[in-house]
Amino acid sequence: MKTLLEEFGRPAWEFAWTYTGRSDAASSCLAEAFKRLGSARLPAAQPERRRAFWKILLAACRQQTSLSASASARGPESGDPRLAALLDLSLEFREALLLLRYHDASAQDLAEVLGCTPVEALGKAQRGLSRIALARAMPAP
Amino acid sequence: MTCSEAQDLLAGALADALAAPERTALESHLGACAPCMAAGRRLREAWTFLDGLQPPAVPMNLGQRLKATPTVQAAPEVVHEPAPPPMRIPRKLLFALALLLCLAAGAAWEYRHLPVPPAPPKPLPEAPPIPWSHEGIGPMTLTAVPGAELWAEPASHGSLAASGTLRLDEGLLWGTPPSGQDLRLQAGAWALTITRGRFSVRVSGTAVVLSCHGPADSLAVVERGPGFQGPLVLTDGTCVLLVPGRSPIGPKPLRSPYPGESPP
Repeated sequence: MKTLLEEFGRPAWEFAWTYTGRSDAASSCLAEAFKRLGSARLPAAQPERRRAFWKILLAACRQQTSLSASASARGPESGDPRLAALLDLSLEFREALLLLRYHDASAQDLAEVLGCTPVEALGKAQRGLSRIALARAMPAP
Repeated sequence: MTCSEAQDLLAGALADALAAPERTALESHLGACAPCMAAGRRLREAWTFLDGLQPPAVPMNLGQRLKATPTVQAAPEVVHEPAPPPMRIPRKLLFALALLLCLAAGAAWEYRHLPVPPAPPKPLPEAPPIPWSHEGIGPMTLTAVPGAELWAEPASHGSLAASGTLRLDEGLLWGTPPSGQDLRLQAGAWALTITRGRFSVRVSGTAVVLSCHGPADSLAVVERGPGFQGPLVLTDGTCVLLVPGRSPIGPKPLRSPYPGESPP
């Protein structure tokens, strides 16, 4: 049977890195998430197991983002305009969009992780994507 | 399916996250609705744009650090595993445990009589307050220039009826109305009546005029998006409009309707 790291490590890292924009913050998110997993009992069956993991990871990323204002003040470590566009989004829209991209989730999965209805969850992702589309269409001031 | 419902599903369609009936309904709507089809094209371009983002490899030291934790080394825990057979505990061990319990109880009895210093209060992490100011009180109409984006959240307390007519040559209107709320979209003239929840407006090609009517003490929280280039003009209505501004108002600071997003 796969370990949690083998099962979720790579997508979790990609999610945390794009969520925070920094490797050090992403590392802290993953360390915190795996620490919390030590005291959590993950369901054995999918998709509940996957949803439970992503809920824990999302909570760790939210905590990391709210506590490390100084880290976010340093800005993203990469000058990639795609990362900048994602980091410009509000957390609400960013996390919905990133979960949709990296979690390989159904609408129901997304809703469970975000704690809302599937339509609301997809709507958040859609609005995040719309803002990226709009920002690309607008010339920088 | 309305345009609003269809547009909410567009990102899900790009990620292949829709169930078959939703996908079929969406495809049928897109086939008959040119504005939604255009919106879908723009979203697809943005989705493809994000495809090029390459996160760095997982740092080696992180992988090793996580591997060192018992959670990661162990096989995943199973919730419904059968209970193990009861263990036989040697009598000597039981006697030692009982003795330890007696000693602990005695120590606890002694400890109860010691003065306990009060625990220092834990500092709570506080989000930086967002300064808000009155942009207008009383009658108002919001007017935005082409290319503007507004996000509004009526009723941060109490309730607010905001109604208006948005005339758009091309644009998007979306909302997260709870049940019972009237959200009507018409081609050419866009009529919106909202009593609770939030709505967003993006325009391109012409101005937005939004009239806002509500009880005297109701609030409308409006944020101007990055594309907003003109002033808000307030000429008609009865509610109080708040925008991110220079000074905090009221005893309770209001939160931005979109947490984490900095005002333009």
